Amino acid sequence: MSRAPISLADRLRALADLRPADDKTTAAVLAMLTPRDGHAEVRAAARRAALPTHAAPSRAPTLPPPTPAAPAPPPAVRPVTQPPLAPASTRLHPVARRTWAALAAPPAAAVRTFAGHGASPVRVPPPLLPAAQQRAVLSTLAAVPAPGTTIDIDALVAALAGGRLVARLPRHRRWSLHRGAQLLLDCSPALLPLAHDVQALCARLGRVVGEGRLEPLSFAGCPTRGAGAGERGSWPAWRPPPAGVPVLVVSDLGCAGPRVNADWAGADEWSRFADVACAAAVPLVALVPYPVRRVPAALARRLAVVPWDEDLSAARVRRILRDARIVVPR
Amino acid sequence: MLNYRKTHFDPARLRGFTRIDREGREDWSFDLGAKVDPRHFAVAEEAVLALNVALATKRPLLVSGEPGNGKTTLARVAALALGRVFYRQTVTSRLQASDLLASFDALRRLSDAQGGGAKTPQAYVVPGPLWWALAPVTAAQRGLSPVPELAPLIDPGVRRRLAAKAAVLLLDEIDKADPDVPNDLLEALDESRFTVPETGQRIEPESGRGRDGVLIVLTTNGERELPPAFLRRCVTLELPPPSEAWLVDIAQRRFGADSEHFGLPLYRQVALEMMDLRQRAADQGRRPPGTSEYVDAVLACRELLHESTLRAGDDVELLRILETVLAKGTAAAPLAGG
Repeated sequence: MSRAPISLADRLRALADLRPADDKTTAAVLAMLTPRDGHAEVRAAARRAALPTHAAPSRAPTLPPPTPAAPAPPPAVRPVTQPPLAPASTRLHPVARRTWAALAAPPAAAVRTFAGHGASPVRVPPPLLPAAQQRAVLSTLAAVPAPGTTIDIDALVAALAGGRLVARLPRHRRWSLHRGAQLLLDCSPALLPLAHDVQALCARLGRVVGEGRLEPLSFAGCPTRGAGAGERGSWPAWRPPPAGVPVLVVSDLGCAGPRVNADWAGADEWSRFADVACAAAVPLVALVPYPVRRVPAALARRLAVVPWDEDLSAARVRRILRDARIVVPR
Repeated sequence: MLNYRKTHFDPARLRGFTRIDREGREDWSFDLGAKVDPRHFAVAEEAVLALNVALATKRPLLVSGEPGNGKTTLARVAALALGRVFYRQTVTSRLQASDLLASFDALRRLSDAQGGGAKTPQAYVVPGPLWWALAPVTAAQRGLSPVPELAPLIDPGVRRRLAAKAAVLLLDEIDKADPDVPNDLLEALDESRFTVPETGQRIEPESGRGRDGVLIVLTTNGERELPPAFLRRCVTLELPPPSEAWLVDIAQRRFGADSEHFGLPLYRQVALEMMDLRQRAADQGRRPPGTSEYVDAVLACRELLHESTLRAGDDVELLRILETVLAKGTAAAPLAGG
């Protein structure tokens, strides 16, 4: 049986052994025996991470644009009451639920101003991906199969027993993050209700894969129109990463439709993008906040579509990736 | 100032390691995988406390902080001060948990089998650093009992005293490993025992080793997040970023303060430039230069500059050197005055 995590007994043992003489030393000892709050770090990183500025879309989006900053309200703040606009049903897909929540919530500027006066914390909806699942899900999403160090004895024996010439030693494969990842974030209006989640996902993925190994790029509609890290107007044409580096796309893949999404891209455009990725031998995974059945079948066959909802787990991601044809570089 | 009983680790004990050479001079140098001179290393009081807490609770110590901030050297100095055997493994992205415990050379066994000279499976076991740290006798014989035809392996541990029993194991840059690796190590780190799958042998800690006798120090540059289950089992220490006074203190320890121009004024000027560069690097979102780069910069200035140049107050050459050693592409604009 494995030894338990650091507990009260450990803290007592340390204090009895070292006998700190003052409160400052006692606090320092206890701080070293308190596990760091990874989620707090991620929340802080998410606050720091900012998505690129949204340029004005060619057509007016259906969703309400962010309200400009209002003058500071008086310090005495009335309690924020939430009108019963948000439907109670949890069967709605995430975008619809977030849209309802955004409509029901008080204007963002007012909430920010309230928080600035210390009267009320910023109202951020609970994360779409449960905090406890985030790390496991993201590390599974960005992992690619890599040859391990151990030789696959069973495969080797089978080859020799079958009289086949063994030109390459078979090795057990393992899932690895060593290749890093390219993260393509759709900043079209269709993803606006999930802006908090997208920022948090970007920050968390950076910590899971490694900041230096993650290349986050933004695009609007479809990456074939251009993708980059800076302002929208400066995005160059999308280039696939080196072979074997997984590409993770966060987008609705056009599911929201042209009425909701001013930057809408159709299945044909997305299919062309998937073909370019396939030709470049990069594994392509799409995180889509809609049910998979909404994604056109022709497109769903070209890439691994992972539905982004509260039920997403590492095991489910693994099943989807296994069923999809992930390109494995030799 | 932290006030407590330094029951297990006290940097003052480092003084006891001074040797007198044949000519009657003090000899401080000590090779511990790399050259370590305890006089050059300033141990932050948080680090001393963390080592004491880790030793008191018998938990692994996870040290985080900026690269080049003395995390690795801290483990070396701990081994030196505690008089323990020192083992080190630098973690890479391809490293797996089995590499730290025991691996099996199946290819050599296959080759031997084809030539009709296959030996017992124990002959193909390669002990990892954790095995060496926990049980050096069984590691040397690759298993629980010696095999007559196998020559014992040489212990890779570095020690100052032959009689040293306990050990310090450094797993450097654990954040480079895939996320599963720290989780796969949980049992071995917690229980100080593991099984070699190819031989089925259960490796137990030897006398003087185990949780009491092996201090495991892990370092991370924070490149990747570590699993929560792993973090919950470690004593954590975050080394603070270097301050100007801290840097000057290190330079004084390392190079002395004897020279009028190559002494304190130089250390202060280099420290000042470095703090400025660190701020600019932070503004640009780049990695700031660390303590090791500061030491390199001071060394380069002492080696390459003429004292007359500094006396005349000519900073051009000095800044050029600092640009090369410290900036490394960090600064878009030249250093102040350059």
